[in-house]
Amino acid sequence: MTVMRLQDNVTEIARSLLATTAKCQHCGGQAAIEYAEGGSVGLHVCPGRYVSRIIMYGNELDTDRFLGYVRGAARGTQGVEAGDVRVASRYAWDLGLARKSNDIVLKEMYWTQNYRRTKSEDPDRMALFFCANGDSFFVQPLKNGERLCDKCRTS
Amino acid sequence: MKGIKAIHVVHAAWCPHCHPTTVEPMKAKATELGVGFYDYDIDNPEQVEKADELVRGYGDWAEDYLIPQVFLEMEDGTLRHVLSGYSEGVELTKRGVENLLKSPYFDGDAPAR
Repeated sequence: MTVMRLQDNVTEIARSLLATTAKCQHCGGQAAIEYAEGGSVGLHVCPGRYVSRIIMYGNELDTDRFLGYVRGAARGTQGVEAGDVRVASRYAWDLGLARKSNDIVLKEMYWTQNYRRTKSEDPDRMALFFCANGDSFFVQPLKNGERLCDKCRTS
Repeated sequence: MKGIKAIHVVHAAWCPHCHPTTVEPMKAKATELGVGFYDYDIDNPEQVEKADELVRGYGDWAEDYLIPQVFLEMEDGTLRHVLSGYSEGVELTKRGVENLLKSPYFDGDAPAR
């Protein structure tokens, strides 16, 4: 029960203090934040549904869980390696929360598509998108313009 | 100033989260307080070893770790990681630095560990 409340707190803090738009590497437009996994995962997604970044929020770092999640989502792309994941600790003082303890408030784990090792401007590269219906990932060539996953397109 | 002996920042010259967002305000604060300031450029072969040592020992370590990362060296000899850049965007990193500079660390009332 306590763990649940802590996680709820983390997702609330993420939604209130870490939600921001980012420049999309795919179209140069604005990638807005959307949520998955009950709010424990944030996605930067542009209007074309390209996923620039996946972020997992938690009380502790669980890079195995995060890697499993991203690998599952990005199956069929250039692959996801442990070295592609970056991590951050967020404290009360940098979040601007009025707490006096030195406790870490939350941890973030990041995966950025098309960054460093996997950087590629090839329009044929298989890239990760998030269905406009907001409940599943899909992979298609970067140059394609589909905004829906196969299942939603055919239903 | 009670508590802080020096400020250490791991950064890169090309990184907008680092310059002018983090390094310059942290350096200005160190000057204002009269404490030491040390910055470590991850692209400088003479500085990257120390940068890696700080991040691996006290910060948010990953093979391709986030920059900037800010550490406070306290008068009792301890080192505290106090900030990592926000991959979400420079605006969040800027806010984090501003919040840090307004935090109890810099009003002589460092949070207990």
